Amino acid sequence: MAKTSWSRLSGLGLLALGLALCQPAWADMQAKLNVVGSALARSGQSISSLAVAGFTDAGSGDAALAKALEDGLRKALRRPGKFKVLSASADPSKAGALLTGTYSEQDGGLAVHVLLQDASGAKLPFTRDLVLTSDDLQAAGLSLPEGSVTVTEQEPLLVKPAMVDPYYNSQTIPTLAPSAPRGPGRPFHVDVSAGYKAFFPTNPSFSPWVGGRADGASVGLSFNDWVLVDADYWHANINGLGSVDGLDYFGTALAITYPLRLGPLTLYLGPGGRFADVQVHDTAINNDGDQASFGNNAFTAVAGAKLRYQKVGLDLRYAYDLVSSYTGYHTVRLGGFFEFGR
Amino acid sequence: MLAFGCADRGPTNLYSKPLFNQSQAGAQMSFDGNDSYLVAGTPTVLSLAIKNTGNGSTVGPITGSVSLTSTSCAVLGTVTASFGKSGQVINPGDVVYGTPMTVDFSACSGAEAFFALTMKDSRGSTWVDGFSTNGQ
Repeated sequence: MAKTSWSRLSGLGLLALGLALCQPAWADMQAKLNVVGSALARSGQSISSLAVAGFTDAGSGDAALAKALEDGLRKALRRPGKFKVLSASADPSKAGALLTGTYSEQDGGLAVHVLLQDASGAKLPFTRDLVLTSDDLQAAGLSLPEGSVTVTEQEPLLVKPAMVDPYYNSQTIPTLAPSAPRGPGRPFHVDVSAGYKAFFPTNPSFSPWVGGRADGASVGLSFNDWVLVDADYWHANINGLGSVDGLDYFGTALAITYPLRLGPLTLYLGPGGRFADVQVHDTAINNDGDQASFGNNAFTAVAGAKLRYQKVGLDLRYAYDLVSSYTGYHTVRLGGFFEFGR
Repeated sequence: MLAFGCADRGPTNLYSKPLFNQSQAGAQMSFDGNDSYLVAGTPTVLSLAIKNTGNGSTVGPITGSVSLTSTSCAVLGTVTASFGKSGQVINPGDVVYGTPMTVDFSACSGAEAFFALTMKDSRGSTWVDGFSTNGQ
């Protein structure tokens, strides 16, 4: 008997909507610098190694804010994993290219002009302009130095149209644009995980046999956070069903998800399938090869969150069986993972 | 063990109701005349076979009880046999054989005998079938 609960879909839809609407709350200085890093990674520049240095106040020549900007840009450039980015202490002259620029005060915030130079100091066809608002600066713990040049609306930023990268030509780069690195694009990686998965049966006749919850072990793979594959197992002891003394569950769960990357946090959502056996252990059946098992398959909806720290992280995932044979489940999986390939 | 596209296997009809509150077709055991035979003599030996003609399964052994009557004899009595091995799953289409039974037809030569076969499995299911012979 197939069981359907489409009302749950509306809840998942609200979750997806919530994920979309929550984006502006994450706007910050690093997010805007990440946009620059992502744009450079996609610009097609062939760069063996890259240094970030030499930012100065366009008016005073002061470099009070340079360190914060340069550190943020290095971090942003390392995210795509495309460039070898030299550290702050390395000699910029030994890099194949230099990312540098100027900044100036604008409406209480900071207008930053970023440009790319080759090893000889010649300009390469990549520039970006971004505006860090006063809120951005305050959140980053920065304050404007005295003597900064104020840019009025009549004063154009230091951008020549011919040098504007075709990917982006706005003077003010909005945060969390669709092409930002917070989207699904990310260097290919595979997460190998192991964890605990709780199965809460939705069939009221079946649920009591497993005490309302079956505790399972789960191992899984995640391909770029787009394709999730788990292999799951649980066992339940059975009393009160004649000569039946236990149930074993072997299952494979597959999901296709859309990842929303928010720094170290990745949220994902998508449809999936569960293909499983519930095997019945009956002591009265003892002939070789005789076995009873139920095909316990389902179409599922999956939502989860991953929190990464370097190569490791935690993955919390919820799935609900929209349509199932014999019994559906709510499942909650908590696993640790190690990331390969990034 | 990975499981892909899993289907039901084995006697799921024995558990589907209590576990999932879903009824499935059960076994239907019937006399199988094609695989049964009689060895004439005194006494006559009957070796019967029964077949699962239903869409579900059961578990052996099945106890068979045969009551015999004849047009020319008094009550011939009741004999019993055990069909299939203990713990054997009897799936749809399976034929299982009973232990030999002996019947004394010496007092009713030439008469037709009627057999009423009652079969029970260990889980309480009961099936009834019948057949006849000329009592040779």
